[in-house]
Amino acid sequence: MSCDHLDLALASGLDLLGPDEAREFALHLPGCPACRAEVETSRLLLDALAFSAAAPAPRPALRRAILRRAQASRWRLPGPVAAVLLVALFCAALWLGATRFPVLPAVTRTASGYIIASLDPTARSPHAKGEVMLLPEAGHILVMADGLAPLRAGRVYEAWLLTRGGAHALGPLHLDGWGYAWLHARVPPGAFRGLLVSVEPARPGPGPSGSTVLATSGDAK
Amino acid sequence: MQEADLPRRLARGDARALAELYDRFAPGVFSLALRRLEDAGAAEEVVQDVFFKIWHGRALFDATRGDLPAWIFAIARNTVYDQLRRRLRQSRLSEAQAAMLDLFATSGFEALEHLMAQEHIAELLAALTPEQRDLVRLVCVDGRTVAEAASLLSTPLGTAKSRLRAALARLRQTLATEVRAQ
Repeated sequence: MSCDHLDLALASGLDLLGPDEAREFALHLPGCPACRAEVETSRLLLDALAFSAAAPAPRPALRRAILRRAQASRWRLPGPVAAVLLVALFCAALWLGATRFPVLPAVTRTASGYIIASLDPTARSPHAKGEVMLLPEAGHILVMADGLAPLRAGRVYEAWLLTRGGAHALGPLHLDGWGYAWLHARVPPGAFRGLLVSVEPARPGPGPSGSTVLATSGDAK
Repeated sequence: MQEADLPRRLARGDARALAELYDRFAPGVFSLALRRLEDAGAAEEVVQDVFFKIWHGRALFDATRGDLPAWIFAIARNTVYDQLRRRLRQSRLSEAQAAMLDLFATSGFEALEHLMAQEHIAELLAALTPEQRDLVRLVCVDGRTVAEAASLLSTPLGTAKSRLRAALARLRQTLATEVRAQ
């Protein structure tokens, strides 16, 4: 793909265009796939330059908070328990059967094969946010959420894997006491078609029965 | 720091490995987030989210698929643009940010991300003239405006703009050459 305006794409990322050029390019951009791709490539370049920065570190308090949190959550899922949990999840997941990995509209697929999908809030939990990271070939899935309200005793936030066959419980999210919640599980390659998180009893039924608080969506990323 | 050992130590749940990763990458994550979100508080939130994902997602890192910096860069970038998506839902997005998000949604940037390891950026910068490199550092890395950079370098604004434009074109060209060579 090529276009006479490609040289403007790079400059637009840093507001280096004059007013006339900027106006012309703004009109041109929506209809030109080549320039759109070039603008994003340029943005990637600028993002990478920023990422490479020998920039000042964020506040020292942030470092302490993050490392303290990591230390605190380190023991929440001891190795043997995790192993048993993963084996159990893997066996349960095998039961689901593998399906071909679909093209999901709300995901980013990285060059190295990771899938990252956003979890969008519902009306039940408007301040929540979350993300699913998946390594499809290895069958690892990580669910992360933030902004979930505390639950009354006996209730959990349950993650459900959506497959062609329906919703299957992955397990409750672990709350780390800092407002974050997460779950690491194994799923069979190709089984992932989406994910939702709902409020459930501590021993959930065969499918989601409570309010959904987060879900993957068709919102493009 | 035994760099090659970091992924293994991270996988083992060694919090010191996370601390080392933090010291090395948090400034870059913060800088990237600040550039796109233009809000120091939001940028700190991104740093927090990114290191949370690195820590709890460590089992997902597969060294055979790419190096740690590229993985962290992908997570950081995704987290930043996710913030922008949330702002879009809350209608708190400027026109420029909305356009950026729209392009992020439609482009195939992933094919290039492995080129974005920090060491590689240093090599790209080395290909520029000293004047170009100073400008790129001030504007693209330190986050100064072109006018500020021009003033600091005692260069007329118009010259700084055209010099920066040429520098970016050169970086872009180098990148394209490398992608073609792969």
